[in-house]
Amino acid sequence: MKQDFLFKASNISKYYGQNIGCKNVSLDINSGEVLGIVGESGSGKSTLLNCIYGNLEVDEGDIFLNDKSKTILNFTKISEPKLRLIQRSDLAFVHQNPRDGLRMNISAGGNIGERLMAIGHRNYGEIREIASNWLEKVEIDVSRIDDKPSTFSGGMQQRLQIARNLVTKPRLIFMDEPTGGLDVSVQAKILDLLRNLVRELGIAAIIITHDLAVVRLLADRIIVMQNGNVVEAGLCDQVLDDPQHKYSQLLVSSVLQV
Amino acid sequence: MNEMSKNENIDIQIYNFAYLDENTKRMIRRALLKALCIPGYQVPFSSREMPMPYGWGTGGIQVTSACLIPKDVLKVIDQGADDTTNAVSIRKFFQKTANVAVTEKTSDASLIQTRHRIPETKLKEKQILVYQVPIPEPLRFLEPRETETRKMHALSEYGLMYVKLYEDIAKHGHIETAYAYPVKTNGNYVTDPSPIPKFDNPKMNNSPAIQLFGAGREQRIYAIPPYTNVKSLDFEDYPFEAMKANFKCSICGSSDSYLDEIIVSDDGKRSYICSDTDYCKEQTKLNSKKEDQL
Amino acid sequence: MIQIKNLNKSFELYNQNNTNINVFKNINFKVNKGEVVALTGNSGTGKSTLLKLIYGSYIISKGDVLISDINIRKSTPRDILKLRKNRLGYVSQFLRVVPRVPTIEVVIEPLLDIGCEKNIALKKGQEILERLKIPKNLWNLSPLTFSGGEQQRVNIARGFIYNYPYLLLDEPTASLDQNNKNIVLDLIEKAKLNGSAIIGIFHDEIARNRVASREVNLENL
Repeated sequence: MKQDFLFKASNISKYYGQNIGCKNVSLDINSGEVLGIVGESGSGKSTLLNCIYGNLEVDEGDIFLNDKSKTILNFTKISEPKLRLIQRSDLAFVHQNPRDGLRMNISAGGNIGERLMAIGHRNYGEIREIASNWLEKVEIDVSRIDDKPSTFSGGMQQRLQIARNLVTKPRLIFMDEPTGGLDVSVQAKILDLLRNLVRELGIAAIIITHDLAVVRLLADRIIVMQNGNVVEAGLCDQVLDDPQHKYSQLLVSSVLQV
Repeated sequence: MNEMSKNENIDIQIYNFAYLDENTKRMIRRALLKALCIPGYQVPFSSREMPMPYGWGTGGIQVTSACLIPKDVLKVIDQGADDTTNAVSIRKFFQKTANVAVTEKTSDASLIQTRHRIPETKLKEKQILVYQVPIPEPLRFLEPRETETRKMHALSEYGLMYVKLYEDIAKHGHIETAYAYPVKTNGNYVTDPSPIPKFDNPKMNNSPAIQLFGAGREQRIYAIPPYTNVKSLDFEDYPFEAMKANFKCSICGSSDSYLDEIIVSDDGKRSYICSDTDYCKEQTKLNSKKEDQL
Repeated sequence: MIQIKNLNKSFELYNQNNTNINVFKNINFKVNKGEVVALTGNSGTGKSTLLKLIYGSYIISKGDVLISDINIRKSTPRDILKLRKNRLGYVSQFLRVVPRVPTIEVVIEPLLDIGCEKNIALKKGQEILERLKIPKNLWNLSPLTFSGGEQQRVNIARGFIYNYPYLLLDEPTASLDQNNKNIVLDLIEKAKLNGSAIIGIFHDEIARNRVASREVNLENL
């Protein structure tokens, strides 16, 4: 197997009884790339994301991560403690609703510091400094480091969630509708932040969204899902400008123009 | 004749030794053995209905009941004192159901059941200390789900515990937790020492005695075998400090023991005395001996 | 060199009664280094479509597009992304940007993408914005509120900030007044002299005549 990929999912299938969550989905991604997964509700994109992140057990298929020491790990075969460790340090998962990805009763600094403390950081001063730096990076006022996220706006909560996830310098970030619950005016800031972070940190990102405008601005390549299957894949602008599959065409033509 | 025997029946109540039946004791002993083999790990056990409600030390009582043998000498303390209601009631309970000798002297006891304190007098090998525990799970207030906390212990995911300490420092400038201060047992599991003041935590470390913990309502038993490493959690730059009030006991003059604060007059005048009544008595005896010698 | 060989493009619209729209058939031509080829032909003959096929935004129905030794039809999405980053530039008619991002950051993005250091990129961005006469006080504003002409010049700045060996231009002078037109045409000539192979669509005859080495009329092939 070629070793020059960062992450690869092969022929992933997940069934819910007779129903198909996702079927035969393959994808791969390298550092610095953004892959978009688009489709309507029920297309299987969330199921797919949770499968490849390791949250859901797959019925068929393999998931490979090229780890930092250049060994290839198969998610379906490694132990749960190892998987959870990888999820905590090398991967990141940004939920659609920031409340699902934050501890609302812990201060912003504590939220960002948690992953550090989980991997063994034991110096309070250092942890606080790293947390402050990240607040700056995601453009949250550093003076709010001791405030609880329940006092933050939706956009700030989402940015905090991103900071919390990136503090351990993961190489791959999964995002489920990252701008979904946000006001339109706030979306732009988050999109720009994500693009800059991807470029600066060289991380790879897999993003689920049903919003084609968002995916056009963020993703290099996309896959289109319908009823659990991948119907089309390719360059983002190509799939959106010249969709070849009937469903992709339907999806693109249904977008309201402003 | 019949009336006499009826009265006799009302008066005679026969309990098994130390109240619990032998099968229950076996079950608890199995749990205790397992707990001793995995220091700090919470072993589930089948907590019985006891003749007092939950919250009154049923866990500790069940552990004591399973451990007692006829030649044991039992001491029971509550917040360090032998003479509070609970301590007296529990001591009487075991006198009635086990007929064991009782004492207030820590150094004479073979088994000590305690609520919320560790005796000041240093414990010796072959002594057993039974703690009464309300909430055995140190992570409970941060993560309410039992399924999650079990996984966190299994996978040593203790980041959240340190987050709590971090929050304390951020809010108060120091770690605010004054009692039930979490410890790492044998370098492995994070354990709740029960609501003892953090002043007592160092006594748990490398103790010659056997330390057993029983939580009746939560149905968990855990244990720390003798000479086990027990370290209170802290940060490198905010190390653990066993603090107590900076006063002397107004009865025996000790400045080393944990003190209770008492309001002695209507205008709010305060006095401090040793929380451990036996220790205070011993110190007073030593003081008068010294005076006699002078 | 850019080579177009027997290029065909048609669209199959499945949701509209399976209509098949044929744009063009059998387009053949070459563009050498240092040449500007102007595409001509009436509206609807497929000029923009051709640029998009070369850029990889449209799928090639039949035929080949070769950029130097790279065959676009046979390239993977990753190959095309790499090509676009380092060698193939495209200035479209429309400015498509993330809202609320300042103009200067929009313009320097292609440099940042190839790993240029931010300070150097900012300097180059300022230079080109000055050259295109975008006032300084607009540099920190989002270009989405600018006039058509200003937006077009921001687009041009982004397309010319890096010396792409291959450049595709779709109506680069469309919304501009004469002065600004000349500035842009200067940029195109400079790129030409630098050895870039350029394909452009110019409705403005004068502009076309000034920079084009030759014309290719899509209706007559």
